[in-house]
Order: sequence, then structure tokens, then C-alpha cells
Amino acid sequence: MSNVTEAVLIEADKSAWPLLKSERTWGGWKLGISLATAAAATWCYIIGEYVGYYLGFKQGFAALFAGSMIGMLIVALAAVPVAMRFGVDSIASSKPQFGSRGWIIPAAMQFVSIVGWNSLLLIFFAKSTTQFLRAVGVLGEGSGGFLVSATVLLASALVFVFLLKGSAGVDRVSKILVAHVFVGMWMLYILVSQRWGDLSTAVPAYAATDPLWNYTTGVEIGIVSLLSWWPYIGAMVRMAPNGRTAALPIMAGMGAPVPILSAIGIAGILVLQVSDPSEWMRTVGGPVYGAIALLFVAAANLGTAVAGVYSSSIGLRHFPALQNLNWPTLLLISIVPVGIVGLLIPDLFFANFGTFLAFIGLGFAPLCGIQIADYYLLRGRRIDVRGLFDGGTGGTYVYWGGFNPASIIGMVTGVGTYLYLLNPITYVSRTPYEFVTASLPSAVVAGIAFALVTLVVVKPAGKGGY
Amino acid sequence: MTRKELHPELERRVALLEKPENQGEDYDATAWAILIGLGVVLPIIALWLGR
Repeated sequence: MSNVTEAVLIEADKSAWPLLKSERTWGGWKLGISLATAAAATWCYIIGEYVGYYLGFKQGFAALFAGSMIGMLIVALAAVPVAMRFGVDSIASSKPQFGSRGWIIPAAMQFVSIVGWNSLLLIFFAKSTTQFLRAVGVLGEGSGGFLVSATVLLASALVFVFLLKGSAGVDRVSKILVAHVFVGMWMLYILVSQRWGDLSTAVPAYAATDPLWNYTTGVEIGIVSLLSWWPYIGAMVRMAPNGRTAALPIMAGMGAPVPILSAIGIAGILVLQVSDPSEWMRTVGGPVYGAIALLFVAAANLGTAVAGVYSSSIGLRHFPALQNLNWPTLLLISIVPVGIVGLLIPDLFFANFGTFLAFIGLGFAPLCGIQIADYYLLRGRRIDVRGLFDGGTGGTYVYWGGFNPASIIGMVTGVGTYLYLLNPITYVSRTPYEFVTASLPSAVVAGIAFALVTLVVVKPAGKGGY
Repeated sequence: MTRKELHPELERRVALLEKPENQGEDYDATAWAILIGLGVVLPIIALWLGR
């Protein structure tokens, strides 16, 4: 490869420009490993912890597994086809529906979501480190508060360094850190084999009187957790050349590891009332096991944070003011908010994880429903690639002032449906939530509303390239 | 109505991608089988086993 060609490729890799077929060289294994590294982080334990509040181990795992795979399928149908065909990221994939300016809605959701997840990961790692050092006597009880802040800053700095070379950083880190998935399996084996008696008889702490409600809530948590891969997935699948290469890595590499590793959290909260493996591995196997678990937590979170910050930075490139900004500064814009949350409000953020999860479902379920309805039903898979980047008044996806009213109405009705069925803060629900979850109807209603407004208003007006 | 002038490198890429032969491929039959198998059939089995 000539120096000029290589320089252009590196530039494209750090921009939101579409990647050409010749540049999209990731095979199935490479994509699967990268996706698995992105998905398998310590959020799995917290996801598992929430399921373990309502369900026993077997039911909890089944519900979470089913929900996760359904959520992964929804994301795979929503953002992936356009990302894969034109080598673009998730934000670009939403422009046909949201418009040449309306894409700011999914972009804001992406930014908040990725900052939120990365903050959670790095705070989790910092807390694990502090607790472990206290347990082995390096720190005294009550001391080491500074360590949470210091660890968050150190981890943020590492992510910055890894990503200076663009997606090559994601690939490099993935190759090393994917091993943590297997360490996770080993930790689950330790807990299940040593505490199966306790695990099989454990009673979930906050189970409702209706078993169906508990089961459905387990499925719902799985769905919304995997919907949050929407912001990540486009920037990674655009490195693969076709759908056949991407389908199995998406479902098996990004979908399945989450419920499998979440089983660690379910088991931990049911048996030992704590989901952090670095804490319960020490209880089960002593300080050596605790240290291994801590290394696992570090590896898992770092890999995911690298992928998240990369996806977030690519998404920011769509903002005209940031299109020509140098790559290190763009990375800083993605990383600094994570550092601020980790420094200023780590406990507050950590304690409100359930609300954060609900926000994911509220936002991304309707977004996915809209994309699926548009791509498969309304457009018959026809996308104008120039329209994804042309924001001029003659652009295909300009609609009215850059915004598509159909997507705004779709989002509002989808969010309204979710809120009617499930209160994201109290988890108080209304029928038929216990039969259909909240996120699935939210996606369906949003898709139907979008399609109706498109057929009645947008298409007759000759807007949107239908 | 005016079309926005794109960065020359972006213009080159978009022009290439406007030709179907330069685009990536959508899901084919095998991919759909994987998506339906792992995203619909497997969850149904999991829900049935865990009920």
C-alpha cells in the first residue's frame, strides 16, 4: 500500500466518511472478537444483579438470554444493513429516517449512552480496585477514596492512548483482551460448582407476587441492555464487507456473551448478595482468586471503553464544527465527560443504573422500530448514499429544514408507549406489559406511527427519496 | 435547490459507492437463517426451558 493510500485510509478510519469495499477487511473472526470485547464488560454483572433481584438463577438466565438475543436481533435489523452496505456508522445509518439535521437526535442519544456506559465501567473498575486493596490490607478501612478518582483518570488516559491510531487501537486491544471472556466463564464455573446448593435454593430479594411479571422483567432487562449496542455496532460492522460475514459475529459475538457473563452477576447477587466478582471471588477462593477477578474486571472494562470511545468519536464527526477537528481533540471530547462523572458523581451515577437502563429502552427501542419500518417496508432497502452526506437544500434526506416529522412523531409515540407500559424509575407497570414487555411494543408502535406519517404526509410531499 | 459540495475525498468515496458493485452486501439467505435462528428460535426455546 502506498503512503498516500495508507494516509487516506487512516484518515477515513478516523472520520465518518464511508469506507470502501477494499478498506473493509475484517473477517468473521476479527469482527466477532471485536464485538465480543466491546459487549462483554462488567456491566454484565450489574445487568445480572438487576435480573437476580426478581428471578432465581435458572429462570433469570433463561429470561435474560432470550431478551438479549431478541434485543441483538432488533439492533442487527435496524442499524446494521446500511452500515454494512455503505461502510458508515450508526449515526449515518439513521439519516434516511431522521433527516440531514434530525440525526442530531440519535447522535445525542449515542453520546449520552456511551458516556453513561463508560462512566459506569470505569467507576466499577475503580471501586473494585479500592475494595480489593482494602481486603488485602494495602489500604485501611475508610481510606483510599482518592483511588477511585485516580483509577478513573488512569483508565481514561489509557483509552486515549490506545485510540490515537483509530480503529487499529480497537483491533489491537481486542486481540489481547478477548481472553477475559474465558476468564469470566471460569469464574462462573467456580461459583456454580462450589455454591450450587445455595444457588438453586436462593430466593430473589425483590420478586413480585406475579411470577409472569418477574419473568417478563428479566426479558425486558435483556432487551434494553442489548439495544444499547446500537451506538457501538455501526462503527464496527462497517469494517466487514457483507452481511453473511457479519450476522454470526453479531448474534454470537456481541449478543450471547452478555447473558452468559451476566449469569455471574445473577449468581453473585443470589448467593453472596454482591455482583462484583472481584469481591465474591475473594470470598469464595481467597485473595489470589480476587486478584484474578480484578484483572478480569480491568481487561473487560478497558476493551469496552476503547470501543465505546471510538464509536462515540466517529459519531461526533457528523457535527459540521467537528468534521475537521484533529483526532486527539475529538477523542478528548468523548473521554473528558467520562472522567468528570467518575471524579465528581461516581456514587450517584452508580446507584441509578436501573434508571439509566430504562433510558436506553425509552430511546433506542423506538429508534430501532423506526429504522426497521423505513428500511424494509417503506424504502424496499433503497438508500441514497449521497443523501447520507449531502446536507444542502437539494439533498435527498433534507425533508423540512433537515428534520423529518415522521421520525419525531414516531419517537414521541414510541416513548409514550414505553412510559404507559412501564415506569422507568419505579418499575410500576400496566397491562399488557407482563405479556409483551415495554420495549417491543414501543418499537412496534414507533414503527407504525412513522410509517403512517410517511405514507400520509412525507411521501405525497415528494420528500425523503421514497 | 442546491447540493452541498463535498470534501474531494468524500466525493470520490460517495461516487464510488453509488455504484452497486462497490457497495457491501446486505444480509443473504444464510445470514437471515442465522438471525432468525439465534434471534427468534433460540429465545423461544430459552423461554420455554426457563418457564
